[in-house]
Amino acid sequence: MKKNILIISILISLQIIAQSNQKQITIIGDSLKGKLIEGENIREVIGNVIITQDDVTITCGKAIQNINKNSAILIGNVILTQDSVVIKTEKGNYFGNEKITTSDTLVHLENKSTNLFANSGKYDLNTKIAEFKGDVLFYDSVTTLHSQKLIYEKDIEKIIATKNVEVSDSVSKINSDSLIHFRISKLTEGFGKIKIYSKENNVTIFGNQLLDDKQNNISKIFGNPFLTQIETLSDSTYDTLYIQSKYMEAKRDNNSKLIAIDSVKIIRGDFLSNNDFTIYDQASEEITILKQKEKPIPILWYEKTQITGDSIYIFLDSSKIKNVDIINNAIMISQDSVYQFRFNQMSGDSIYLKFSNGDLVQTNVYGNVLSIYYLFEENEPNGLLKSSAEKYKIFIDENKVTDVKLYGSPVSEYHPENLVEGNEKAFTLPTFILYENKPDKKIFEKMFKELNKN
Amino acid sequence: MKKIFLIILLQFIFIFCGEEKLKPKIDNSINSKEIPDQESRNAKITFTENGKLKAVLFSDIIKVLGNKNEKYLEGVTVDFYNEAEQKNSRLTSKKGRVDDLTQDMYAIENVVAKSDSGVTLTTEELIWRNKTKKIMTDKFVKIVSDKEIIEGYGFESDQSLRNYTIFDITYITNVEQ
Repeated sequence: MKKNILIISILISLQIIAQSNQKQITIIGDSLKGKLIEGENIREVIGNVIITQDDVTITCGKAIQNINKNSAILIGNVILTQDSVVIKTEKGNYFGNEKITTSDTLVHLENKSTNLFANSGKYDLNTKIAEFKGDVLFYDSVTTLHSQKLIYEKDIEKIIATKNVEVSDSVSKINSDSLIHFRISKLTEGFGKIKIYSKENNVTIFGNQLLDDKQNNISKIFGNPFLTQIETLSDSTYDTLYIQSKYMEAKRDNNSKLIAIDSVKIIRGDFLSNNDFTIYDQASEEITILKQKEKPIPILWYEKTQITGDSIYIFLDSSKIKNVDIINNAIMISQDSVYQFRFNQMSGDSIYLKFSNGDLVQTNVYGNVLSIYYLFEENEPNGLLKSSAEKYKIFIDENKVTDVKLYGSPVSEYHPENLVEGNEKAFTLPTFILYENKPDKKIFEKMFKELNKN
Repeated sequence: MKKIFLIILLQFIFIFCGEEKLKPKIDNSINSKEIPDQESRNAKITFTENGKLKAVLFSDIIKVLGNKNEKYLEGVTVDFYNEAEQKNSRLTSKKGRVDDLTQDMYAIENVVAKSDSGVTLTTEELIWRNKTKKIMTDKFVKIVSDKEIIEGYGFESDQSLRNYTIFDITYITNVEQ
């Protein structure tokens, strides 16, 4: 029992000694003025001042220390060093009991390859957490960050930036209301008014929340993300891709991909789409649209044509559409350019569209093919043709059908014009549905302008 | 009577002829100019200004050298008093010197000055200027209080040791003693 009490006493004594040592400050300087001002013991150390407390060293031109409060005002070329952290300012304060340093003038924190500048700052030498305010600039060899307020946790290299945050590197720029960045794990979380701009492919993504995982090369954007990509076409004109959804995910590896999920709206030139799952592979210029369980079938519009199917694959070549493949439950409905209620229809297991210089040149339909095709003779309507076959090929030149080929037990029936006229709505395929919820390009253009202003 | 005188005379002659002649010893180390005019023991000198008590000096020995206008002291203690004539600091040293013309005091060897505010100053030489009421030295100085240790070379202070300047300092603060 006595032994235990002795050990505890020794431990407590050691702790007290450790605590008292921790508070001890040693100061070297050219001269010291001791003063008693309003009952406060003041020490003014002037010239080549070096202050040390534990692992903290401060050098400056002049230090005015309040003995009772154990605090000091540091003036002139102030340099504070602790481990790898170096803080520089022209005027600052040091609170010895709390081991906190503050500055209301331009302050520069340096830690290995990272640099932090601000109009004012506070650094807690115990917790090793810096709080910087006013025109904060943080940069390392890769990234530059601007904000109005920044908290930097040195040990875990965590950055919390708020107010007008802008992070940029050689290829991208992120703007947000606030941002949390973990330098070691290269994980970034952004909140509020997110804007991501990629110089590499001229893509801008807006959203409300961002999770950027550089180690795993993945970025997630939440809160109605909206993507725009301005592309220069081969004829030097511009075209803009718009994608809006409830969630987006960008994977940056050998095959950079953008995945848009839930209520996806796409506009690109004459192509429009409404769906719930889109993959945009920028490298291979492929857009994949897939039907999700319990969700409506994907829809694609091209000029006056509506295409639906479980899976739609769009292949681009130098930003121009090369092929469109519609797999499972495919149906293509084209409105006549003159007659509002006349729709050429074609359904099958799969439809393959081939384009040349952006113009449709061939349509192939495979499996359980059904079609309704309106006929014209010298621009005058001439009934319609209902057909069924196993395989269907349509050849088009300058937007006019030049040849139609049916394969595998084809059956066709002709409906004369007198039976068709005024009765067009009766001639529809079993899976015929006309969708009206097209994405509106003007709304997207307006949205882009407004979001880009901020 | 003549016989008696003769016997005495013979005895003197006998005595002086039987021994070597002795000369009185001369101490050459003593400079006649250094020989004090006065010497006091357990002395006390009071310094006043406009009738107000400023300092009281106690000394084991005081030697007054009139021709040099100086007093040499051994075993010195000086008590300093503030405006309210309250004792606010004490200085002790092994030796000391007082300039009679300026009334400046020099504390020499093992100088220790303690203020009532808990500040202790140690040095090898300290001068108290009567005119300015300031304490100063150009020697190594160490000041110790309950919260700090200050070491430096050269020192200037008011006599209460509250307002002072030290040069080339090493300063340890927040010392838990």
